[in-house]
Amino acid sequence: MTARTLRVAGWAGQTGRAGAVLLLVTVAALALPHLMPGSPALAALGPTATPEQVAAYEATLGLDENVLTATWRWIGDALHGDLGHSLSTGAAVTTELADRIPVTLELFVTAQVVALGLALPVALWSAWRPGGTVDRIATAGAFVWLAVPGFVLGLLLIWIAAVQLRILPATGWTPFTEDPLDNLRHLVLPALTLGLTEAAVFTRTLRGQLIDTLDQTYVAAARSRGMGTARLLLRRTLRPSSLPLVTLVGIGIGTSLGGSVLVESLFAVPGVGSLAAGAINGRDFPVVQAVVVVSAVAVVAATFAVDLLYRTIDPRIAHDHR
Amino acid sequence: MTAPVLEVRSLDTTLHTPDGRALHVLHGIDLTIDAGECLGVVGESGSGKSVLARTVLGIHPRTTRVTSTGQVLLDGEDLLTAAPARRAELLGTGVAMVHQDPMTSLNPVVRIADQVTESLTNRRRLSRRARRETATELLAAVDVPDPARRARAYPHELSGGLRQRVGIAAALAGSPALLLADEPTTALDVTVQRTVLDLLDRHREDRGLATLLITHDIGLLYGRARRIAVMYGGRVVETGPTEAVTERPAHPYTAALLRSVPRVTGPLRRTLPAIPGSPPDLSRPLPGCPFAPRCERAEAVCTTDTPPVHRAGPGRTASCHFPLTPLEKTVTATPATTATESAA
Amino acid sequence: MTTAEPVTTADAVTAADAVTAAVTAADAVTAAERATAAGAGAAAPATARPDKDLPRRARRRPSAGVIAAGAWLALVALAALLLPLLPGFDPLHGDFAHPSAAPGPGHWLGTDAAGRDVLQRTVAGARASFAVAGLTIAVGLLGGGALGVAAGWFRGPVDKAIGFVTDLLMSVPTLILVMIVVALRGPGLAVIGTLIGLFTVPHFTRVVRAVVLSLSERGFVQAARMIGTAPLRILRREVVPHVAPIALTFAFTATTVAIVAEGSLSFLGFGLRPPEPSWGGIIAEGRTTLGSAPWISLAPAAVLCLTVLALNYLGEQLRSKGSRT
Repeated sequence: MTARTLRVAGWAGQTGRAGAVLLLVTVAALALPHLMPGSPALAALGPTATPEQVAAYEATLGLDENVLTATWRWIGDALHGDLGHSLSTGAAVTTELADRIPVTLELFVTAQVVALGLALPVALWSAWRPGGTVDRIATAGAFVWLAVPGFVLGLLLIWIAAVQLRILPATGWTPFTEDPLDNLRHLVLPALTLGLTEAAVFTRTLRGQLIDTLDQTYVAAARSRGMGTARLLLRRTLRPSSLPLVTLVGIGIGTSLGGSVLVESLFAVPGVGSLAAGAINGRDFPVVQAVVVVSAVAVVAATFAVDLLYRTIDPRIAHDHR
Repeated sequence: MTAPVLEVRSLDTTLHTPDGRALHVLHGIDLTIDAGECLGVVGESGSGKSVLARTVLGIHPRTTRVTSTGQVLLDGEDLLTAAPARRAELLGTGVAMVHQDPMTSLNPVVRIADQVTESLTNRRRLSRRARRETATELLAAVDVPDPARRARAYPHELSGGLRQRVGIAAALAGSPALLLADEPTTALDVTVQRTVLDLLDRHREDRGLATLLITHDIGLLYGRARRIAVMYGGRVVETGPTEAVTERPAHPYTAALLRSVPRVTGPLRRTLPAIPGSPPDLSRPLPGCPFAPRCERAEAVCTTDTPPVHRAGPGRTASCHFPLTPLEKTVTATPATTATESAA
Repeated sequence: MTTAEPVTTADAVTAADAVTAAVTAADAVTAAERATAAGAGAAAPATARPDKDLPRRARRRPSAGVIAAGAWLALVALAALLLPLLPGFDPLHGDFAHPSAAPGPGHWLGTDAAGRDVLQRTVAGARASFAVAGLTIAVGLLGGGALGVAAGWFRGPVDKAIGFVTDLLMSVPTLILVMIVVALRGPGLAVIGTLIGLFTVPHFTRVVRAVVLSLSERGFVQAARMIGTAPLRILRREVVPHVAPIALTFAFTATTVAIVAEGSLSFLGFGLRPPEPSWGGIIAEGRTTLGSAPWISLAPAAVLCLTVLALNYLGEQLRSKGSRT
């Protein structure tokens, strides 16, 4: 077996697993209505529903057939772009998602930028001068910071910026295409809420890795050839230390949905998270199912992206035929 | 007679570790190396030989504070008192180091070409192509087969022996006057060790490099180092031409070290002669000779008075109260604590 | 080892919770996984000594921080247990004479819009949080422990199957799922606690698995197997003492995760039903009056944060003490 065959086999295995996971998630999502005690149709339509209405409702949700055929049908429709229709608004789920995904994406990306923008310089400085003032403040600060859950942080930020200082709006959203400046004003607080906590984790993780790397012989070797501190840190130390950070960012995509539910609900941002929250409350199954499956797809895609990124960052990994 | 490339005078170094300990790692080190000469420095772990190299380079772990007194003269210029900018200038171009473990001394995510040329690229920009070409030349000079391909590769694609050659090439890239080799072959297979050492010898002769070859294996130095310095407990206990020191050791530690080298020929022994005891604790230096607790010849004076330095001609010294070999001329010069004088 | 297997793990209840869990769990996982790689396992925090030595060691000169953290937790726990037994304790009772009163004598943390005492409600919320935490820990330890031991002991297809299940659990958006189940089955301590516990299982499984793997590679387990010692006996005598300290660290992490998760859920309205107080719920109630009566939200928020901080601190101290054996 050549190295190439092994590598292809590895990829195939991973893809297969990912596919299996997605399939199971889809089945589970479609089985959700069965979780309800009693008949979901009656719960939604009320006790005065006629048998025809009940049958129609059940047909929409695929409750009249077994789960596997329902799954098959759902996947088929999904691949054609049809994710069903919202039970509350009647709008096509695909359209709703298409409107809201960019908003959540904007929030997520901004939060990551904030987090990395804070974490990188602080971690670099802390690792270069461990035990120094910056390091001690940063470590203690990050530790305390992590004890503040997202929703509390959001509330705090609202209290400070919107209520006390009145410089930013507490809630609401303007699309970027309508008014970029207003969009940014509404973006600040939610992005900070998400990004600041991530910054604390990023800083801690990166600092630990950097310190390990800086103790390596190859760093001393580079110094012994006259390499300056800045170049040493940015071009020879950062890259070998970045793998766990990449993992965190990748995982962050998966968890961002949960995080965005909170933040979007708190700040009234019309993204996927608030869509999900509303749909769950209203038992709008098609929307909920679509959101669950789409987010699982996002997680799987993120895992693959992380893997690819790993190989680019550390050439040893690609070498190990896995 | 030209001045020596490296001259170390009365170098005294103390390390202050982050947890508050003060380790007096080097005491009154005196060394000289001429151009084209190889000085072997031999000693156990903890003898201070690696710290010596790092002090000459001026590179210590970032979390350790270092205080040094004395002089480290590189071509007459004192490295200890030089400005940091000047020291940075000299790293790689005046003095360079070959590091110990080839598996960890190369950055795994950086291509060989970029690392080998660092002594040059730290000072001026080189295009990627220039880097590749220069690296290929440098690698060819250390006998790396297929150097162009290897220059493009990453460290993990090379074997240990090849990686060490890369390390040597990287050290030589800036054409330094002084090369420090810290146990360059310890992590290599025995069969590869010799080729690497031969390589170092060749370059030393071709370029007139002054070389400091640090090792714990005194056997390596036969035929390669013209002179030897034996270190123990942070001090140089004996120096001299290699043949003289190894055939007629003056210091009991040198003798014990030589005895403990396993030999293929000679009478079969049931146990390897080892030196009993363990190296001294550098955070609690004791008065007198550091080897006294383990020395067969030690007497009371050895634990109270610093041993005098006996000289027997240029470049032959031993620091002992009761040297083994009666050295021809014993003109003693004793440092501070006691003032005993003895004449031949 | 597949490269997709993250070095750090993140519980996925919310991004913020994930990072709390990630940080505290990450170090334990990384340490345990390094132990597997190292084979000899001397570096793993749990493997050096059976835990009967641990209390003796930990009792030696606890630092001021540990004392403070312990004291706070004890205070909260005692308050949660004892205050409700006092006469006059009624977090649901609204003192309509003093709605939205600022903190002061009589109402040490103020009152909310309905005149209910914030301190009493915070204390009652603590009970809910700790109850959920307890259930989470139980489910996590039992489920994760069993799966981890099975995966590390039997290896092969069993390990792969368990790995698949943990991957599955970790790819699911957990907060969403808990919200869904709560919406469909109704809120309740049991449902919430079990679900959150379920989502901590994959992380504990990995940690336990790593420890068991590193232990099996050490001689004494192989030797015991060869002699024919019953597997259960090996487990009990050799494996459990090494897993125990990790389990303790996990308990701290899981408590933090549970508190924050329950808080988030209640904040969104998917937690315990009001007017039953829970931390997230009472914080949410004060949202609209942040300007005029900030203490309604901020007082319980402060209690929550201090509790999480104390837990994290103790967990951290425990881990660093354990790894120094």
